[in-house]
Amino acid sequence: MLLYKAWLESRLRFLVGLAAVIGVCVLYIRVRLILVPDWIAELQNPKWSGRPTWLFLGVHDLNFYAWHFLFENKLQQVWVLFAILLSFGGLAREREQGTSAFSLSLPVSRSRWLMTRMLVATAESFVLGLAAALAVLLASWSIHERCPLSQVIAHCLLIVTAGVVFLALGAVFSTLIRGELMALPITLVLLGSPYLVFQEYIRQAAPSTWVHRVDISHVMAGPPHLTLATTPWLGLAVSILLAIGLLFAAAKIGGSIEY
Amino acid sequence: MPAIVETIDLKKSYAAVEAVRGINLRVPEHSICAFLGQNGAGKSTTLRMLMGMIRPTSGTGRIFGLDVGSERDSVRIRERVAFVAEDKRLYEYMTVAQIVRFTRSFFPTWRDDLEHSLLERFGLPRDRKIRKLSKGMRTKVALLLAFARGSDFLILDEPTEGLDPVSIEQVLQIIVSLVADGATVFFSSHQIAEVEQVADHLVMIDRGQIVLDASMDSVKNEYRLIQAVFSAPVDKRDFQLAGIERVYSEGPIVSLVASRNVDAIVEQVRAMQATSVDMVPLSLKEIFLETVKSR
Repeated sequence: MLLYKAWLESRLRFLVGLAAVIGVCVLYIRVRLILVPDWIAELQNPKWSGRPTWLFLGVHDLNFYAWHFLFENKLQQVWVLFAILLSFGGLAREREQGTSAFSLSLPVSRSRWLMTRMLVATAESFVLGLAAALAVLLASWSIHERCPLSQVIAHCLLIVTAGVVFLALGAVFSTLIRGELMALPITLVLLGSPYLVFQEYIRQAAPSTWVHRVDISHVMAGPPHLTLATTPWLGLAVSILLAIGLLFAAAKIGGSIEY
Repeated sequence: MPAIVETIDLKKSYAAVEAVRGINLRVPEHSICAFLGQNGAGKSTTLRMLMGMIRPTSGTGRIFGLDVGSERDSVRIRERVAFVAEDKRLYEYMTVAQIVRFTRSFFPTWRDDLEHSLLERFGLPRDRKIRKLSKGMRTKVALLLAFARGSDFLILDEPTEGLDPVSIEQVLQIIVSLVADGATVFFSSHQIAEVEQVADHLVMIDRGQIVLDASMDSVKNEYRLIQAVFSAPVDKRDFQLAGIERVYSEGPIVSLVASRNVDAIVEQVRAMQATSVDMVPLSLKEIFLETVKSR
């Protein structure tokens, strides 16, 4: 019943998230029909010298196109936003709504409340990832191109698995900061500001530099062609361990809060 | 009589404010124990400490012998205790039927018979969302969820607040019937008439300290207002006897509020050459006001 309650509380956010990830995937695949003819024209124009390196690959390889626009970029951002949103709630929200006294009158420990919510948020985030994969595949068929099934699924799984740290961060911030209206913007500013400050440096840095090793966005995207050998295992392990540590911190903080 | 709740010097402070100042509380088993006090006296803070929602600053508290300050024990306490909080807020997105089903899943002792009978008696619409219920209806749902748990011990923070007189009567009858079936009830209230109607034990708290802890019978039997008339004005300071809680004087007329030792006080007043001495019992409301005022 705790799972059922957590689902009832998060289902609206989940459904909006589902619409958002499907929307962004379908939009970017369908817009390829408009972009590719323009890019071909640009590639054939001998006067234009400032072609980005990805343009040729983007025209000829749908897998690279999907990676460049979705897995490394928009889908990842939308997924992270909703992963944080889905991790918000629980006793911290109930404290604001006044229902925490009822919840805490039930024979359920505070850590069990937290873990149940995180379990549901993780499952929902996983479904968002799978829905994104399905949307990419269906949208690519709709434009009469094929995106390799294994690559799409592998990239979506990588986003979800490496991104588990954002779920845990959401749990910590929503426990620490009273009121979700405050917690969400603070979380997004704290997570987003390093990217805003360092984005140029990150973009120009070589893949082997330290910045890519600590850049969670880079880990979530992986390389354009994902294999067992090219999967960022170390980054994945660090993200998962960090998520476990953050969840313990959230449980510790939540245990000391007075309701 | 053995006690279900026992606290020793239980304290709770918020920064410089002492909300509860070292209370030694004892709730006798199979009793209806009323917890009286003014707003901000420390009633809800005490009840929340007992339920493990806030941690005591110092002192200890035990329910069924389990430590209220330990998270592990607190879960075990909540398996056996039903609690209704002061604000009685429930999950607004659930229907009455959903929240009943949800709560029932945590209590193997859940009483289906009581659930069905209370749904009928309170006239609760099963398919209506909590957010669409009136305040009184929400209170009834909160009470149903507590009563039907089949708990040995119920802690109710102002259980009848916002209810109409008919519903209040129903709730009081249910409380009495639960205690008759072997439960113990500890409830806070501002409605003295209700307390007088059902409680058999009384605890009064004022400014974080317990000022009265006695059975209802002894309170009713021992508290007296003694009125004496003298031939000349007298000094208040002449009435410093054990058991006198408060002295009012207006010229030659003196009124004494006594909590015990009444016969000896009357004897002493007569010995002071009073021309007349009358003794009348005090209502619970008067006792409450005198106890709180005398501090």
